[in-house]
Amino acid sequence: MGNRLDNLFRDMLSKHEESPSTQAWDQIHGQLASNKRKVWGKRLAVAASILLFATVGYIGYRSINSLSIKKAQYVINAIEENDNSDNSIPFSEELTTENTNSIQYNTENLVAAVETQAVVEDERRVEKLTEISIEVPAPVEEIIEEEMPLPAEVVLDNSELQNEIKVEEQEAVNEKSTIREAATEELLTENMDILKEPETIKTQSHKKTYSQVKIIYKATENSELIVSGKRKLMDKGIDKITRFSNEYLLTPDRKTKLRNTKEDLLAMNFGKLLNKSNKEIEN
Amino acid sequence: MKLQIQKSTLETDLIIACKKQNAKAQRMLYDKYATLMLGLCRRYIKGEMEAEDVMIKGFMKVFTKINLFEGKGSFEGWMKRIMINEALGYIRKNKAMYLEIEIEAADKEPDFNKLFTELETNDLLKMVNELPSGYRTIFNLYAIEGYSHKEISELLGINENTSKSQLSRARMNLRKKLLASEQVLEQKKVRKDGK
Repeated sequence: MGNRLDNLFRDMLSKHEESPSTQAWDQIHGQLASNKRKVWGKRLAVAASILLFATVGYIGYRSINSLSIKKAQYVINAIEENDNSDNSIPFSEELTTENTNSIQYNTENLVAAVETQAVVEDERRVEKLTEISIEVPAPVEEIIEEEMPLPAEVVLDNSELQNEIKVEEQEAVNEKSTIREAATEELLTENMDILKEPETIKTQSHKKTYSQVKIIYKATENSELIVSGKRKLMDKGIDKITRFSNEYLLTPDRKTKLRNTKEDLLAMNFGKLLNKSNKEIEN
Repeated sequence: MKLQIQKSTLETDLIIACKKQNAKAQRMLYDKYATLMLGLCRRYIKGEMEAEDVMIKGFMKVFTKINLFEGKGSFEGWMKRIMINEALGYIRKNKAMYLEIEIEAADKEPDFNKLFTELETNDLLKMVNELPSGYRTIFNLYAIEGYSHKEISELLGINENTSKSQLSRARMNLRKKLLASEQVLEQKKVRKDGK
């Protein structure tokens, strides 16, 4: 009974069709269009965010890159400067005028290094460095006085005249030296911290003069690393690397240990497998 | 045969175009299936407007999920399943499905052959629509769509035995209605003969 009734309804109703109202499609169409708009909006948002991330990343990358270039330059400067200053110039030392040129050269380098350092402010190891002021002497001219030519073989018959001449000569010499003294003093006031011994210049003006040059620098503990030898920093880095590799690379001991554990594991598993297969055979 | 091949290629082309969200293709697909799908919805849902709303939602789902259709089985069957799910969702949401307990005895068997020739589709649809919603849903699913009781129980979240009892009651109800309509038809015939 059930089947015949079911068949009747199935045959009559399964293909039953009814036409919907005209608004039905409009509704569907409207909803689909708004969906499309939403999808495009989403895509646009995604594209915009990707673009934003890319630009931010690029800018970040560039700035990091330039910073690392600056760092590299700084390190190069430091190394070069280190090479130059290593043997030749101990600081805070009396120097003769003979080395003043080389001092100037090196101090220039130092100043350059300090400037570079100021640029690379995020270098932590030298962060505390506040000031390195180096006061450099102006090139001190050698004051070499040629010996006054003595009136050679002048025969004087009058000793008074001779004395007069001597006195005049002496006066002339004095006059000359005072002028020179004034000149040097003027020069020195411009370069305040050059401590010199004026007497030596005055009295031994005919010899090579020595001027005492004092280089004053202020620095913190950390900055001493740069001043006294930047190689220390480098060495530290190398030390770190070697330590790292020692810790994490496979030493022969570790290798043997690993091999042993592996073998143990294999043996255990193998034993289990053997037991299992034995049981199966028994069964 | 040739016609069938052409038809199927046309449909696959339509589906491909719909997957690309082509508006024209969507319209064509709608025109092709809207009446059939509304007919299906009408069997499940009493009100015409409500049935149309369900059909619209069903079509939205078809167009947005068309990428999930892999081409296995018929597209019509896939669409029907979506529409049925939509209709069941509607019934569940509106708590329109009551599983009635109503025992009606029908003493006679109607003449099905005669009814098949003399009754119209709309008469039968009216009978189905007059069924209590629980009977109607299960009768639709089992008798017309061909779902098993197990599938129905899973779909509706009910016991398999409940599905069986609801079906037999729906059948009894319908038989009663068929007998009544048979009587009406006979009376009409008698009147005609009398004239």
